[in-house]
Parts: sequence; C-alpha cells; structure tokens
Amino acid sequence: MPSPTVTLLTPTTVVSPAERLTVPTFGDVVVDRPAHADWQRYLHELDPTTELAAVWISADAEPLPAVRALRSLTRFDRTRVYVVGPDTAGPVPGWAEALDVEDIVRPAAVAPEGLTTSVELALRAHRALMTDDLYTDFYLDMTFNKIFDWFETTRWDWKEVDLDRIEHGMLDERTVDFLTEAAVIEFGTLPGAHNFLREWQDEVSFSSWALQWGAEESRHSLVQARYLDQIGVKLRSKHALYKREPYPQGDVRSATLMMNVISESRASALYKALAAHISEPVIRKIWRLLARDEARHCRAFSVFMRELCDSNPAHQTAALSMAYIWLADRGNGVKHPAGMFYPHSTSAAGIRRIETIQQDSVDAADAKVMSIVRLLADDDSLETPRDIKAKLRDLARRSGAR
Amino acid sequence: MPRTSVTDIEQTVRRFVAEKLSIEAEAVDLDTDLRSLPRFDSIHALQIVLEIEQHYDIEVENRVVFETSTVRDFAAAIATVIAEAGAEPLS
Ligand SMILES: [Fe+2]
Ligand SMILES: [Fe+2]
Repeated sequence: MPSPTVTLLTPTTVVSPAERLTVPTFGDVVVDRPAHADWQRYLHELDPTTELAAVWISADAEPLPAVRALRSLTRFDRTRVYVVGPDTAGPVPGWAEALDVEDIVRPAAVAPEGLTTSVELALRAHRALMTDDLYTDFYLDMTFNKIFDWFETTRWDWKEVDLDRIEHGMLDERTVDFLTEAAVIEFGTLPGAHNFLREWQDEVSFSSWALQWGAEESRHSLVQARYLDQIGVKLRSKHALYKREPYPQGDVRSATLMMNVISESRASALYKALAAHISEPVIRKIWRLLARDEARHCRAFSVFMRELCDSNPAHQTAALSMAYIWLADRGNGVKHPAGMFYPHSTSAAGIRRIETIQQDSVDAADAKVMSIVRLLADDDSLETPRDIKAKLRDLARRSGAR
Repeated sequence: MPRTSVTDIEQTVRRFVAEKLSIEAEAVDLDTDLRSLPRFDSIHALQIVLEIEQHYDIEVENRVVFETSTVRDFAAAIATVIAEAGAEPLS
C-alpha cells in the first residue's frame, strides 16, 4: 500500500519538493507542499491511488475557497482539514463545521518540531473514517437510524406475557423438553453478540443495532427460563456459561450476516411450528412473540447485509458462498451457530428434536432465505442451492475475465 | 475434451487445495483428510470445488462439497463426473 500523503498549503508561489516524514504507528508519510496558486490543479491531478489523509491550509492563503475546492471533490470527503492561523482562541467559525474542518491550529502545529505529532493525530482521525466501508458524512444517514423506529416499535412488551395464567394441566414432558432446549439454544446468542462487537469494532451503525439485537435475544432465554421456573423446572446456569466461550470470529462481514439471516429465519420457523403444535396458551403466546422477533432479526440482518453487498462483488460472493454452505448441507440436520460451535452442549440435538415437530418448517424458512438471496444476487432465477453454486461459478468467471 | 487421467485430476486437486490454503502441495498427501488441513473449512471446500468445476467445465453435486474426506476420494468423484460428461478418464 502506498504511504499516505498529507499536504501543507501556504501562500507561496514556490513548489517545494515532496518530503518524507516518519510517524510512529503509521511509518512513512509523504508531505507535499504545493504552491498556493496551483491548489486546484494539484487536487485534480493528484494520482488516483494517493490517499490524501490530511491538509493544513494557512489562514493567509484564503482558506475558505481552498477548503471548498477540496470538499467539492467527493474523493476527498474523508480527508482531514486543518486551518493554520495565529488566531485560534475565538469560537470556531460556522463554515468550519459546514465544511468538515477538523480544527483551527496555531502555526507551531506545522513547524518542524510539531509536525510529526500533528500528522499522527490527523492520520488517526483519517483512519477512523477510512475503516468504515459504509462511511456517511452524517450520523443520521446511517442504517441504524433508518431502521431504529421500525425495530423499536415492533418489540413485544413483558405485559403481554402473563406467567400466572399457565394452564399446568396442558403441559407434557415433550413441551418441557422443547422449552428447555429453546432456552438453552438462545444462550448462544450472547457469544454471538460478543463476536459482532469484535468483528465490527471499527464501525458504528451495525454495532449500535447489534446492541439492541443482543438485548432482545437475552430476553428470549429469560422469558423461557421464567416460564420453566413457574412450572417447577430450574434452568442450570451452566448452560449459559458453556456458551460464553467465544466461537471463531468470521472474517468477512457479509458472510457473518448471511449466516445470521439463515439462523434467524430458521429460528422463526421453528418457534412458529412450536406455537402451532403446543396448545398451552401462555407458552404458545411466548413462542409466537419469539417467532416474530426472529423474523424481525432476519429482516434487519438482511438490510445490513445488502448494504455491504450492493456494488461490492467481494461481499456478494462471500455472502452467497455462506448461503450455499448453509442451505445445501442439511445432511446432518440443520446447522445453527449454537449447535456448531458448542459440541459439548446439547444444542445440536435439541434443534434436531425441535425440527421433528414439523419437518417442513425449515424448508419454509430456507425458501424465505432464497428470496433474500435472489435480491442480493439481483437474479430472479435462483431457486436452489445448486443455482447459487452456478451463480458463484458465473461470478468467478466474470471477475476472472475482467 | 482432452483425455484426463485420474492421476492428472489428483495432481490438479492437490494444487488447488494447496493454493487455497496457502500451503505447499507436498503437504497435501493423497490420503490426507482435507478437514485436518490448516484453515480448511466448508467455505474453502466450496472455493476448491468451484475452481475444479471451472477447470474441467463440469458441475459436481452438493454432497461432493460436504462429504469428501481425502484428495483421492475427491479426485475419484471428479473423475466420475468427467466420465459422465463424456470424456474418458484413464486409470
Ligand atoms: Fe432468539
Ligand atoms: Fe434472533
């Protein structure tokens, strides 16, 4: 990767040769000092591979038009801008915020003694913006804000669940087994939340939503454990603790999201099947609410996944590959992260027992996933995992031909 | 289609496996269980199958992606598909 570039613009007509500066944690940085009169040309002719991390514009060099010229080019939307002037005490002028000027600094900041520290600070700020693949200028343009209201207003209320009205006579051993397994499987969402925050640690939008998701999932174990308690079954905490081991973190975010789209879709179908086959009204109600939650989760994960995949073939390929792996391989029953990553816990067998309640429920869940896959691949002809594999071959051929 | 021997297929599979996992081809023995190789997982299995499919212009069944255990088995499954597609593999 080429070294990042920073630019010092002072009111001079002399073009100074580019220098190199070594900055702790970042290594070599190119320092350009273009002539003020050349600013427009400099910006337009800057090599497309150059990462212009920051510019310092002297207050004597008509900073406002110079900053505007930079900001008018979208390729520099994440370049950090500093105005250098003797007068840094007053309030920051309005145009500074409007044009995303990072700070107004004293001349000492760009003098030889201070430059390294200033550049390091600017590079850290720049890197924070660059690591976000889905960077938006404004916070409220993030997907988190766009889906928040829908997500918030469709959450169930504990008041909807009345554990004092359980019809004990309608319960049998099988129902209690399903309930226990479902509560235990739900414990697997906590390491899922740990991993989401690890895997997305340099971004904001999905991470913020993942906190809400995790909060909802924690209610899924809790409500079922409280129901069990009410009927005299105490859920051991070991089941939750077993699942606190982290499982391997994914390496491509779109693939991680696809895995979750699929497991949420299946979880929703399984809760729906449980609710349809068990007659005790309180647990039936709970399972219906949880089925709805899992369907909401599936939808939200798919929104974040599509956002990554739109116009990004690498993400698209990764997500489709994950879809193929999960949809095509049901030889040993359905895969679920909770069952795959915790072989010493009972999840895998538990999911299999729940599956038996309605054999075609997973098919219905996977059919829903296929509709998400079709949207993602922008290809209506995809019907089966085999079609996904053919699509992947096609994408590989096309990227090879480019 | 050129005649393809099982040995050729085995060598091609070994090469693709080694490339995908960034290991030496020598480390991929014909009877090594692919699952025991570093970094090998279902996603890598799929990527290797996709390359093989493209290389021989064939399509293999889903179970080949998930059930193959060694290079030898894998190559044998590919040889069968190639034979069914019309070419005659030598053994
Ligand atoms: Fe859940
Ligand atoms: Fe969920």
